[in-house]
Amino acid sequence: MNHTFTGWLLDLYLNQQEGLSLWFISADDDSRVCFRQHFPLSFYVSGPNENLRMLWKRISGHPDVLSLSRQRKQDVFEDKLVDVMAIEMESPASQVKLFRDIEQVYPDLTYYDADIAISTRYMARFGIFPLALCQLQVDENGVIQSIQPLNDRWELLPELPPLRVLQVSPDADPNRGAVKSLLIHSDRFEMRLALDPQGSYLQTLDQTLTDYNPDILVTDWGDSWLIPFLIKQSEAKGIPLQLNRDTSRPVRWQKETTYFSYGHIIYRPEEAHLYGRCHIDRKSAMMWSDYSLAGTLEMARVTTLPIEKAARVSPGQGISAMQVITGLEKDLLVPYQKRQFEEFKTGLQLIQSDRGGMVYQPITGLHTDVAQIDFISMYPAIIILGNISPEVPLPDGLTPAHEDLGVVPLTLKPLYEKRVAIKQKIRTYPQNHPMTDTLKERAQALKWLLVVCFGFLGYKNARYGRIEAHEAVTKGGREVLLRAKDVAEEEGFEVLHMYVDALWVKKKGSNKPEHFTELIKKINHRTGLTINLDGVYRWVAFLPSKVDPRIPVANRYFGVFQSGEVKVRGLEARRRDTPLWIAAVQKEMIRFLGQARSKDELEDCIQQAFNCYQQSLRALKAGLVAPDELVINGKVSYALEAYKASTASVRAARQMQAAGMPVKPGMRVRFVYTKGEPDVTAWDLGKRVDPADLDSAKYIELLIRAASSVLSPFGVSVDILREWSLSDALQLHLPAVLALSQG
Amino acid sequence: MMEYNRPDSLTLFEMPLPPKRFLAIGAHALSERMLQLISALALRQHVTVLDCGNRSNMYAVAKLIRPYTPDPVSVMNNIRLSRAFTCYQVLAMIQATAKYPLNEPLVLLDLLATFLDEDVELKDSQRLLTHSLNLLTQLSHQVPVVISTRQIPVIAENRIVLLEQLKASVDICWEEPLPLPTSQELQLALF
Repeated sequence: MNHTFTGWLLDLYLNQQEGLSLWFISADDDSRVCFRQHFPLSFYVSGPNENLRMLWKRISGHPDVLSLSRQRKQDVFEDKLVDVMAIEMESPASQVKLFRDIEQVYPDLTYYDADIAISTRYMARFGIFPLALCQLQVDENGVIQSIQPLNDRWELLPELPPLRVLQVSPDADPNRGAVKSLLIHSDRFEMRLALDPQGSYLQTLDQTLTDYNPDILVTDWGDSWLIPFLIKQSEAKGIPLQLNRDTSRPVRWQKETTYFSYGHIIYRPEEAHLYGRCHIDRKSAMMWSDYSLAGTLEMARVTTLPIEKAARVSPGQGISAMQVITGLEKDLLVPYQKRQFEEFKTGLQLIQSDRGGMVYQPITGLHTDVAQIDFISMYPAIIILGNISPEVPLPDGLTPAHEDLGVVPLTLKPLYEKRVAIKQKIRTYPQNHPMTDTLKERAQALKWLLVVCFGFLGYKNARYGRIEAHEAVTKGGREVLLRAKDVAEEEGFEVLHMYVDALWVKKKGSNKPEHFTELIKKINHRTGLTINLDGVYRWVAFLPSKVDPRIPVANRYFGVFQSGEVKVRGLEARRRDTPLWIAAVQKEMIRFLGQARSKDELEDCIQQAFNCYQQSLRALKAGLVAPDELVINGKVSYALEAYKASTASVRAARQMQAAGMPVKPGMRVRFVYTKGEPDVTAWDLGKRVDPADLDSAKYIELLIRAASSVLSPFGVSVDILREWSLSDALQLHLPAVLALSQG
Repeated sequence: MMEYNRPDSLTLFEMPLPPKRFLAIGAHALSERMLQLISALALRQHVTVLDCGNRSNMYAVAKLIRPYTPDPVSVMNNIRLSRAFTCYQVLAMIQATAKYPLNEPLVLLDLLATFLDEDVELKDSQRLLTHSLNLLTQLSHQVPVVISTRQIPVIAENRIVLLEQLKASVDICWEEPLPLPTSQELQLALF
């Protein structure tokens, strides 16, 4: 006898018996329920007929194979349909096992749909995604007979479940010092559990997990320290601790990894995954500082990645999952190993096609009444407008060469539209509306997905990537920017700088937003894309190269909008490796400059910024800056033994290695510069560093460079600033420094 | 087209190249020298380049050929190239090249780069490399095949077998000499 159940999907994973286990939050009584579901599925193999015949003989009669058939299906990179052997399997677990077995024996065959995440397959078949509200028919054994979604991924304000979130954090950074207690926080209670030797904190925590029964466990250092610590203590003391909601399973560990992403080597520590509830480690959650829990849940909803995974992986994996769903919905084969290489070109064609975004170097120096106009999500918009996808003919410029949208634009269109709709919704709310922050976080998550979609087209392992499609996007971008420049110049504006999707323009007498409305309208019309006024600067300073002051540098500037908001790009304050204190001084100097409402008021403000620098310099020389404010957040990109030259980060990493703390490629290494030998001290060794031990000369140089970035547009050169700063003069006088710089 | 006969441009192999398999090993897969080779070949004839490590800097080639020809466009059009970014793609690219008879020299840049990818199991890398080298052997009966690669980096030293496999498959191998020890290392301290 079946019964109907309505609830939100929280977690989904494989089980050996029925196929899948699914955890729901009931919409009727707030209970958490686990059901199971049979989930037969198919994967496909192509190759020479004789090899397929051998494979057929090998697996026909296999107990988990439901059927074998010959089918014709579409490979996205082939012009014609491909003959494939379809292998229908009893369950996802048996599919994984059989695929691994036959791939060992027949590695040269081409496999499709062989390694698709179960959450992605489930979405493609039923339209169900994390936190989807669903209606189910369930039999008396708790096995789902049918399921259907009651909302979709693109709903603007979906009905969400009342999630129970429990936060557990150590009271100190476990890498820096001894943890004495755990801080527990939920919407109902807060407590501090002392780590007593008897282990009573384990009992309290276990009881809390049982009573409160959280859906999401949010931790700090949960992957790298907290959960391993709790499990170890639980085993050592013999005190049970049930972290999973599914009590039949232990915590699942995912191996640590190092990978290359967008020009950076990234290290991800081992991950602790739970069954029936989700564990999010804020320190491992890649984008937590950008979009927090609301953005993470939005990411999970639209990408269909499990919540735990959506919190940790790069947005590229989210885009990949979404493209696979689109591919499956279009009945396209999803390649296991993409073998598509670049089409043959001549040397000249490669030069012509392999270019990036358009950059028009800025006119360096200080400019007033400048408008910055940006195209909204330019590359995604070009992909959609130009219908750029690996399987359809590519456009020449912006005009699509094919009517039906390909996999990539089809994936991006609803995402792009949802982000625009959320931003429009935010504008309808009054200031400080309780929904605003949540919506902003959700919009931010969608923004990241849109940001990475372009790069993903050229990514070697992207299932629907193609280098020519990637190049077509940048070609469209250059076309768009040139059209915008033409319009601006026709309208009498001077173009000061262009950078991929943004223009900085000025015209005498144009200093209010409405003075740029006509320009924006005309650019929108000429390009077919939407351009937006980012703001009108009271003043903006484009900075030159540090190596050669005669050379301008793209995207290195700071300025103040008419609202008083300061915008900084490419300066020390934006870099992750700049010590907090140096960044703060630079920001403070810019804040002083930002108080100037016009060019005339700048002189006073420069003096104030200069005073700020002087005071900071005195504090640094006097040893009044705390070492923890001067920590440098370095990074090692390779295994330590691969380094021939020893940088400060590497020297610090070697200290950690020597102290038994392994350093993996991509890991961040924090250190301070110290006097004598060694000249750096790894911060995470936990050694006490006295301010007197710091190498103040190194920090003074960092401060000089940061200050000169701010003061150079006003005529203070770095050499003069250094000369004055390193002298024993008690007082620096700005006019004297300026005179020297200019003289 | 001007005759390209500068003797110092190709220090690795004597021109014209016979139909054999050449291997050049050195830092950065000897990119600069390989681009010189491509330029020299393109000034004479057509050349096919299979770039396996994103090293086909055609701007550099354009600069190299510019002093030797009044028609750089034609010379650049003599170069036919493709890039691959995984070892699966490398094999597919070589297969596609071997499908039709080749009349011009074949240059493979940084052949082993993608085979060192730790996401690909070593046995798969070996299998794919074996297929690739068999195809290159066939091609070398028709045209010269010049391969460049770099020394196996420390972090991938378990894959040294791939370099050995490659070395064993070629007719002529040239290895960049290791840098000489510094004078301080050569000179013994007096006291």
